[in-house]
Amino acid sequence: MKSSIFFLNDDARILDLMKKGDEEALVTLYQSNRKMVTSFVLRNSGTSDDAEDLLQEAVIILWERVREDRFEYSSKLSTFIYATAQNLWRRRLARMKKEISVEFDEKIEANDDPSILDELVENERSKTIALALVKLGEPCKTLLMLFYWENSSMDEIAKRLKFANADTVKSKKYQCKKALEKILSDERI
Amino acid sequence: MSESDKTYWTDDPELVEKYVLGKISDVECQRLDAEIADCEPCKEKLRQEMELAAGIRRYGRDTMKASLKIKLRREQSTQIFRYQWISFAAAVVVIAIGVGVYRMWFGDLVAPTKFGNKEIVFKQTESPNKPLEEKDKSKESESLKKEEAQVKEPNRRSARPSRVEERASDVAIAESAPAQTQKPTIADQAQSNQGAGSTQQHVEGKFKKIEAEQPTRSIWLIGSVTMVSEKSRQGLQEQTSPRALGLKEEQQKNDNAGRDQNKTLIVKRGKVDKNLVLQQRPFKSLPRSRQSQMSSQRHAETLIEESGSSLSLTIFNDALSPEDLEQAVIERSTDDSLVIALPNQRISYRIPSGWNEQQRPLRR
Repeated sequence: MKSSIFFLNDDARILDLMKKGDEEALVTLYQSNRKMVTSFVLRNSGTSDDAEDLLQEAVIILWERVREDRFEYSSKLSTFIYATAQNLWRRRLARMKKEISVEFDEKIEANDDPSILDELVENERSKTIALALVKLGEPCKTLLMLFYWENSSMDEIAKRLKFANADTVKSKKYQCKKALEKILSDERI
Repeated sequence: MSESDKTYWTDDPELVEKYVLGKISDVECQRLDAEIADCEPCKEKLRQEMELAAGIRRYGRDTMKASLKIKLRREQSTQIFRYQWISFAAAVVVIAIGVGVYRMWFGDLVAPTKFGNKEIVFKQTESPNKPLEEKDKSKESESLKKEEAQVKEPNRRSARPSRVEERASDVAIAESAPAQTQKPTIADQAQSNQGAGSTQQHVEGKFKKIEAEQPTRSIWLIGSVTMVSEKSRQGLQEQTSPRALGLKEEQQKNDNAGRDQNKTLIVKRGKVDKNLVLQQRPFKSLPRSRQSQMSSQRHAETLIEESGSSLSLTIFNDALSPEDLEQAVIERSTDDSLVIALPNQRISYRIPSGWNEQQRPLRR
C-alpha cells in the first residue's frame, strides 16, 4: 500500500475509537474529509449544505459498519468515505432525476457496497417508521434502538435497562415491536 | 400436510432478526433464501422485518447526525474563539512593538502639542560666521558673568526652596518664583551635583544682578538630534563605544570648566527683543530625575528658562563642542517648534502649549 505509516496510524486510531463507541472519531473523520467531499459535491450540481449532509451520512455509515464488524480495512478510510459519498450522491441525484455529471470519478476500490438494509434506510418508508418510533416512547424506543442500531445482545440490554434477565428483554422486545406495528397500521388508516 | 401447515424458518422471529441484521454467514443466508423462494408470506414477513430494522436504523442515523452537527458546531466555535484569542494576542504584540519603535525613534510618548495664540518669534539677528557686534559681545560677556556667578554661588542655592515641577512627565513646566524668593535654576542644581572644582565664593555684586534676572519660569524639553554628516555619526559611535567612553570621561574631567560654553543670540518675542543664551553642559550634570528620561543619543535634554529680559537654553549633551556652539544658528522657529542648527547636527524641539501664554502663571 502506498499510504504512509502516518495515515495507517491515523486510521487505526480512528477505527479503535469507533470500536470503543467514541463519537469524537466522527468529528475527526468529518474534518479530515470535508474539503474533498465538498469539492466533489459542488462540482456535481450540489451545494455546500448537500456536501455537509452527505459527509455526515458517509461517516455514520462507516461507524455502523465498524460497530457491526462488517468493515474490512482494504483502503484508507478517506477512500471509503469518498466512495460512499459518491454512491450516496449518485442515488440522490437519481431520485431527484437530475443529470449525472460526467465528473464522477471511476469506481473507487473501496468495500462500500451498500446492503439491502442500507438501501432501505434511504426509503420514505423508513422515515415513517422513524417517526413512529418517536411516538412509541420509552423504554421501547431505547430497547429497539439498542437491539437494531447498536447491535447489543439481550444480556447487555437487560443490564443497561435494568431488566431482570435476557428473557424479560425478549418478551418486552416482542411487545414493543407489536406496539410499533400498531402505530404504523393506525397511521396507514 | 397442506401448504399452509408447512413451517418455514421465518416462523422463528429470532432467526429472522439474525438474517435481517446480517448475523448469519453467507452460506447459511443462501440456504435460507432458497428455502423461502416459493413462499410469498415468508418473503412478506422478511420484508416487514427489514423495513422495521431500516426504520429504526434511520432513526439511529438521524439522532447521530444531529449529535455530530452539535459537536461540529461546538468545535467550530472553539476554533473561532481560539483564532480570536490568537488575533488579540498578535494585535497586542504588534502594538507593543509599535510603541517600542516609536519610543526608540521619536523619543518619549508626548502627544503633539498645540501652541498658544500668542507668538514667540525666535529671530536670528546675526550671521553665525559674522563677527559679533561690540554691543552684542558686551551682552554675551555680561550673560557669561551672570552664569558664572550662578555657578559659584552655593549659599544662595541652599537658601532657596526647591523648584516644584509642574509635571513629572517628559515635559515639565515649572512655576515662576515670587519676586522676593530666590530660587535656584534647575541647571544650577545640576551643576551642584558636580560640586568639585567650583569656587566657593560669594560675589555680592553679581548676586544682585542675578536676582534681578531670576527666571520667571522654566521648562524641560527633549530635543530630537539629527545627524547631518557622516563624520558626526562616526563621532557619536566613537563616543558610545566603551573605550571611547572612558577616554571621553577623562577628557570631560579635564575640560569640565571649559565645556560650559554659551552663545548669545538676539530673539524677538512679540515686539520685544530678548537675549537667547545658548548654553551647553555635560550630560553628567543633568539631574538624576532627568537622566532617566534619556533613552538614546538621539535626544538632547534641554532646559529653557525665561527671565524678564532673556531666554536661556541649556543643552545637556556631550556631543557638542564649544566650536559647535559658536556656530549655532536658529534654523527654523514656528509657533510650536524650534530647530537649532549646529555644524554636524540639528536639534529640534516641540514647544508645548501653555508656554506661550507667558503672562499668566501656570500654577498658583
